[in-house]
Amino acid sequence: MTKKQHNLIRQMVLISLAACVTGAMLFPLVWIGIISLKKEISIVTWPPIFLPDEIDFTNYVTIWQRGGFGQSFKNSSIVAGATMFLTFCIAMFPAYAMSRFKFRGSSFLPLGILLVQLVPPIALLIPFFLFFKRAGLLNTYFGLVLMYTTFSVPIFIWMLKGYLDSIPTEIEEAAHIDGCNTMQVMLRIILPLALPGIGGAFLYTLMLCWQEFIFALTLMRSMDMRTLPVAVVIISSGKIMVPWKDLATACIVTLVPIIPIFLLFQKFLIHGLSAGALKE
Amino acid sequence: MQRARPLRIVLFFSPIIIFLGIMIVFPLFSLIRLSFFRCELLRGAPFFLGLGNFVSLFTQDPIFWIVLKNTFFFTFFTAPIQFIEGTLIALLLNEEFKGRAVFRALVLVVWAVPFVISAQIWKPLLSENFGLINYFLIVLHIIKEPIPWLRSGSLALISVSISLFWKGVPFSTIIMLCNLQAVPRGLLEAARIDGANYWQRVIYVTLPTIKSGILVLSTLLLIFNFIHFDTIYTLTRGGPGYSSEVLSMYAYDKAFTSLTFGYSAAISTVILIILSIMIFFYLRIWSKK
Repeated sequence: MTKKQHNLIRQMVLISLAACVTGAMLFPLVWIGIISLKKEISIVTWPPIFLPDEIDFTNYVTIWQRGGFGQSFKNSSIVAGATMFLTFCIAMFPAYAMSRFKFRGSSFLPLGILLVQLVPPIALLIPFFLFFKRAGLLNTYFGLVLMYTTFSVPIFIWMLKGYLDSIPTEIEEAAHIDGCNTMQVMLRIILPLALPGIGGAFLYTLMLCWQEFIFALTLMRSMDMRTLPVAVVIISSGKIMVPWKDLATACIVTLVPIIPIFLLFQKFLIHGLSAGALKE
Repeated sequence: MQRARPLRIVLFFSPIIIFLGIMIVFPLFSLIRLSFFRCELLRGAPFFLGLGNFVSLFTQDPIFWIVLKNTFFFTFFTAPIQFIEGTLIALLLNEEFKGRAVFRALVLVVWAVPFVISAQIWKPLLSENFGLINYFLIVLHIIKEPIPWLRSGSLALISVSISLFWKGVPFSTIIMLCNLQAVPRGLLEAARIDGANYWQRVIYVTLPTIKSGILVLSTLLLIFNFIHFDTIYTLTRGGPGYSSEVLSMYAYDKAFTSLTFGYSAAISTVILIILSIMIFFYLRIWSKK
């Protein structure tokens, strides 16, 4: 067997394996999409129907009103946007300082920050629920945004610092010589250069806001403040017959925004995570 | 890197320190303090109990021990499999072949799927009467009768694990991929020239090189599975009975269903303690090797 033939077979084997793995990963998503398009009676058949004869789109129109999904969508978007903004404001300074300044204990900070990430949500949920109840912050955007910011900030700092480390300092030094103070340097010069790192960190925060469940479930008490994850779970709870078609439609509606965004920005996210990790 | 003036350090770090102090450190102390009280919203003012909650928890609550067993079983069943599948897929995606980037992107897409959605997706898949899992198992003659994945006490937790075998792939894979890419090519080349086949290279060169990365990933997997809540709440809600109830859910139920916040805080404190012990022991074992 020539080297070329050997290589070809190797390529084919690898591609087949990769295709199998990818197929297995994507299949549940495709299946829930198919379920959302079937007529309700075709969903619970045995044997299962893979390619339905009749397709029913109407659910995608009615779900916005019926499940309160339009409102949930809006809530998730507002919370996500506000969290991304707040996280950035809080995380930017420490990330820059950790990257550019040398001081005692600076090597412990990244680890300490990451430890914060490992706190179980339930341990924070109880004190915050009681506190928000007393402070009247239950069922407000502010309360939830505050929590999500707390969860996002550590990784945001970690990823941003990792990315900033890869930006050479010559430009900043030149700017300093020209008379800029640190604040100006940070905002005018570093910020535009750090956009890829910021993009990756933003994607992480967005995913967190879009997925988080236990705080959203507990802190948002009324139907009109619920976020998407909670709405998706509520659809099937407390009912004797699970409304499969509605359920599937709800899942697709929640996934449709986040998946393309993820595909577009995942490169930045992965670079951000590995940049942070490789420093260890 | 500049040597920074102390004032500048304070300026840059005080917002974050204050923020994390208020949002994380203070509430944790508050939680631990709460665990020493009987705090039930409908019963009037909180009442100091000392270690009362913990005594009740360990001696008068048989459900606690069931929940503890469930949590440990779930954690040590799910995490290793997630680790292995992530490693295998990462090894595959680390090879160079046409379209690798596309496959990688598509495999990772599942990372963007919320856990609760993953649970809702697996509900119909695991359904006893019309689910695809049973369908494929029967068609392949692996089983004769449909398996009641979600309705059987002994299988409920395993069903949750199955959904997490799917949802957990991107996380393990991406971390292992980053680790694998840090292995020096020269080392692998030298091993290949010395006659090592692919799996020998993996076992004797690659894995030892990324030992610290393996440690980090496995610790993270253990922790995330130990405290997991979303999928279990959505898929089985702890049932049937208490067969899939885990510690996080038990603490949640005691707080928001039974409204006994002090007791719930005690359970949460136990979670924190076990978590710390797990991390401590794990680091010890690995540093000895």
